[in-house]
Amino acid sequence: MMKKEPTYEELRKQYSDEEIVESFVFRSNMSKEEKALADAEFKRLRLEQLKNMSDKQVLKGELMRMKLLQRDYFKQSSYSATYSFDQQLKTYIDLLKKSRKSVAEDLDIHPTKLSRILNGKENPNIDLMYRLERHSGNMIPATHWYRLFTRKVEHDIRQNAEHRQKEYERVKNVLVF
Amino acid sequence: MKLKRKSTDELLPAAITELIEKDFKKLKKDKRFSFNWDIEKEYEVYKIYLLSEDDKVLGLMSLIDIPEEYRIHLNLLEVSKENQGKEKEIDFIAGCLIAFAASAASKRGYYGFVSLEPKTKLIDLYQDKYGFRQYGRYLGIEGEASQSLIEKYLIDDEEGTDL
Repeated sequence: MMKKEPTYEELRKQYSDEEIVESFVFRSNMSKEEKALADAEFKRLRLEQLKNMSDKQVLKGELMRMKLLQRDYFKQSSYSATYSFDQQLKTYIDLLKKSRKSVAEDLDIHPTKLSRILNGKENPNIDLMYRLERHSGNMIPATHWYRLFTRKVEHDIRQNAEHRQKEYERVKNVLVF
Repeated sequence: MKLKRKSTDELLPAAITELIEKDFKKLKKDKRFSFNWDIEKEYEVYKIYLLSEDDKVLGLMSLIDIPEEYRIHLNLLEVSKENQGKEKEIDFIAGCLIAFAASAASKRGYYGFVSLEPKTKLIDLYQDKYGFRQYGRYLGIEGEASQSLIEKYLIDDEEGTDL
């Protein structure tokens, strides 16, 4: 059996407007014609607003997106190459629309060092993570950069059978249980 | 997620997930919700619940994805009966759901834009409480306001960790 849905007017007898706002958003009750007009007006305003967004607003929106996607990644247990430190740093630099040299200057590190980190040939240190946090206007926290880095290290430790075997061979007096 | 037990001000770990078929069946019999949520099946419907009581839904929200306008439309939201009005047990349910919609709109590349159709008398309150702005007959939240909502209700601290 279908439930009898409450109207705003009915709820108003029981609750204040503030209490209603804290508990409900109602479905549309516009007629088809009214809705078509309202939708057209809304679409015009929305597209106009998108067109007028400043570069700074776009960048801030993109950085927020990056941060939220990283948070989702941290909630998963698996590793994804898209979320390795170097890939995320590449994404960050692309969003800035700046040259790598200029970003290296901003971060006070040598361009060669930045290039080696971006190519996965050198590990980032915590100093860089703090600098990236500051550089992003604190949008991407240092702890995010740290987690991106350690997730990859953990993945490598699990996967590198050859290295593991090589180190195993150097161990003496292995505890046996 | 920042739900709060009103009697103790204790923050409660919670989660928001998409409804599956068995949730819709249970909802039909659940007297704590008054709307016909089956009608929303064609859209994305989400529930919020405490991690310690994952079989008890505290709030529901239906979202319509409108990629051509870079927005998510909040079509319907309802908080469970025991959490409505002055006697509510748990606070911030609607805030967390709206912030979740803003977060989804941000992740989909819509700059956090969420729209809703308000009752005329509620326009000012949606603006004051959640930061919406008027767009003709609709209200919308985006950018800074959307980010503030996400930070207020979804992110625990500056390090971006959940409770």
